[in-house]
Amino acid sequence: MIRTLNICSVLCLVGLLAVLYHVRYSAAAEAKALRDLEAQILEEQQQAQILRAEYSGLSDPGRLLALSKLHLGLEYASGAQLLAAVEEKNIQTVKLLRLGTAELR
Amino acid sequence: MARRPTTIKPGGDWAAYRSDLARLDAANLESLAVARTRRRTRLAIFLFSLVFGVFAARLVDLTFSVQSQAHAAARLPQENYARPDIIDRNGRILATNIVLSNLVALSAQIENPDQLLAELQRILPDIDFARFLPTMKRGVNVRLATRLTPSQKQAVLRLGNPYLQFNDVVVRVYPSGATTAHITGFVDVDQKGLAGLEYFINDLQDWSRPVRTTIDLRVQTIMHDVLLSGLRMFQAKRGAAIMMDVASGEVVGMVSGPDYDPNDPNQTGQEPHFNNATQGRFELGSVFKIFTVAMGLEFGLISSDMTFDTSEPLHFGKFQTDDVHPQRRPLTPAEILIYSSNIGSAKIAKLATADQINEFWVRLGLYDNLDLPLLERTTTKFPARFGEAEQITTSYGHGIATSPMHFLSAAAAIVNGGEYYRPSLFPVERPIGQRVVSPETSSSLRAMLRQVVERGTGKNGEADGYYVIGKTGSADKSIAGGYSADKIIASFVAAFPQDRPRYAVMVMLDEPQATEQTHGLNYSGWNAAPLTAKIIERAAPILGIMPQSPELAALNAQAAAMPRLARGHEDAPQ
Repeated sequence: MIRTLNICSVLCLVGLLAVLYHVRYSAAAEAKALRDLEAQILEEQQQAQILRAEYSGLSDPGRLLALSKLHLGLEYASGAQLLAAVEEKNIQTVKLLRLGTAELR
Repeated sequence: MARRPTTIKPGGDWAAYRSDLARLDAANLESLAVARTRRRTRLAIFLFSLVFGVFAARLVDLTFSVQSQAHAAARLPQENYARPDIIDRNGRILATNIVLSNLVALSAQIENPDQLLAELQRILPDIDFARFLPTMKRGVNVRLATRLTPSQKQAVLRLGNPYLQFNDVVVRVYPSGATTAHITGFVDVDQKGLAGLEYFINDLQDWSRPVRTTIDLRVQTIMHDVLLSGLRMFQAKRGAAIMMDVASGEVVGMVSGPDYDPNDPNQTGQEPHFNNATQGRFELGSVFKIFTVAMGLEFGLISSDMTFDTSEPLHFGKFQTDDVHPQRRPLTPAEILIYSSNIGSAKIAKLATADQINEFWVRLGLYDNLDLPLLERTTTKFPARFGEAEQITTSYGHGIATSPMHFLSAAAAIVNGGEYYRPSLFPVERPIGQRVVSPETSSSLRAMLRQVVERGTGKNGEADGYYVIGKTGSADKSIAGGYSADKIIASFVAAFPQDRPRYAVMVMLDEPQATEQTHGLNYSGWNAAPLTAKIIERAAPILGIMPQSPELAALNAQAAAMPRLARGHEDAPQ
C-alpha cells in the first residue's frame, strides 16, 4: 500500500518536474517574444513620433500661410467680406422663412 | 510509587514517562514507539512541504521576474528622452522628442570606401559623401551623417556593412519654430531646458503627460505674422503682442520680436531670446489713462459728465505737461481718453490721494509677480518716491514701467465687467476673479474706449464688424537724464467685441519709425493700432467670433420674428 503510494508520488513528482520544466521554458520564450514585441513597439513609437513631428511641421499654420500666399495668391478674408457672406446667408434664410410662411397660409 | 500513565499522548509530559520507562509493559512500549514514528513522519512531511514551498515560490518568482525584466528592458531607452511634449490648447504639438541616429564609419576596417560611399550616396542623396573619402582612406573613423531618421537608418542597415555604426541621439524639435519660440523656450544638447516653458519643465514633477498650454497655434501664427511684418514695416527695434481671454486670464497668443528658432537657438545670438511681452519693462504712456479714468469713476472722484479744462499746459514744479492733440477746451473723461489728454488725466489723478492710486495699482495686479511658467519674467518698477510730479506723470503712464503682460491683464479687468484674472499659460478650469471696479464703471469705460476707436486716436484700430474698443499709447522713451524727443514706445490695447468683450489684445512697438503710409507720423495710432486691428480681423473668426453689423442685427430680428419652420433656421447666426 505505502509502496504503491510512494511510487505514485514519485511518478507524480517526475511528471510535475516535466511540466514545470516546460512551463519555465515556455515562459522564458514568451518573455522573449514579449521583449521583442515591446522593442518593436518602441521602435514604431519612435517612428510614429517622428511622423507626428513631421506632420506638425508640414501642417504648421505658418508654413501653410506662406505656401498659400506663394502659390495660391490667397489672402485673409477681411471682416467686410465675412460680414457680406454672413449677411447673404441670413438674407437667404429670411427669404426661405418667408416662402415657408407663405405656403403655410 | 509514582502513578503510571495509562495512555501516551503525543505532546504529553515525556519527562514523567522516561523515569518510569523500565516499568512500562509491552503494550505501552509499542504505543510509545508508534507515537514516536508518527511524530517523525510528520516532521518529514513538514520539511518536504517546506522545500516544495520554497520551490513553488521560486517558480512563481521566476515566472514573473522574467516578465518584469522584459518590461524594464523595453522601457529603459524610452525614459531617457521622456521630456513631455508641449501642446497647444487644441492638442497641436509645439515641442516633442524624436530619436535620430548619427552614422559613423570605422574606416580602418572598411575595405572598399569608394564603393560604400557610392552606395550611401544613393540612399542619402542630400549629403556630399565624396568629401569623406580622403579621411576614410587614411583609416580615420569619420561621422558620415547626423540626425538620420529610423527609415534612413534602416536603409543604411540594409547595406549589411558591419563597420557602419549608429549612435542614437534624442532631439527636441519645435515644429512651429520661431512662431512659438518665446513660449516653448529651448533646451541645450543635454535636453535641459534653458528658456521659456522648457525651463519650467525641468522642475515639473509629472513627466508622463504632455504639457497643455492655453496657446492657440492658429492665433499665435497670425500674431507672429502680423507683429514680425509690423516690426519690419515700421523698422521698430523690438515689439510684443499678446492676446488674452478676458474671462479667465488664459493667454491665447504671445509673441515677441525679434524672434529666434528654438530648433537652433544660438544661430541668432542672445538678444532675440528676450521676451518683450513678459520680461520687457516699459513706460507704456497714455494707455495708462484707462486706469486713471477708471480709478476716478470707481472712487467717486469724477463723474462721466464732469469737465476738465485743458486750455493751458499744466505746470508742476519746474516741469510742465501738455497735450499731443491739444483741444484747448474743457474735456469730459470720455474726451480725455478720445483725445488722449495728458492735462486732463493729470487733473483727474490730482483729485486722488497717493493711497488711492496705490490701492488701485494693487487691485490691478501691478504689484504681482507674473504667475507664468516662464523663466523670462519681470516686475513693475514704481516711482522711487511718490510726490506731486509722480502723481501727475503716472496718470499718463510715465515714471511707472511695467511689462505688456502686466498691463494687458490689468486692462482686461477694466473692460471685462471689472474682475482681475491672473494671466495664465495653463488652462484655468475655474477662473476666480478679483473685483477691481464695479460692472457700471467697466461699462462706462467700454463706452468711452469705443469712442476712442470710433472718433479718437485709435481710429486705425477698428476691425470691420468687431466693434473694437481700445486706447493708444505713444510714450516718449526714457533715456539717460530725461525723455527722448523722437524715440517712442507705441502701444495699443484693445478688446472685442464692444458690448461683451471676450478677448483683449495688446501690441507694443519699441521705436517705430514714421513711414510714407503713416504720413510721417510714428504715433501708436498709425502703427500699433492697425496691427492690432489686423490681428483681430484675422483671429476673431478662428476664435468663433463672427463680425456683426446693424443690417445683420435687423436680419436676425426679422428671422426671429417669423415662425420657426425649417431646421436650417438653427444655423442662423445669433
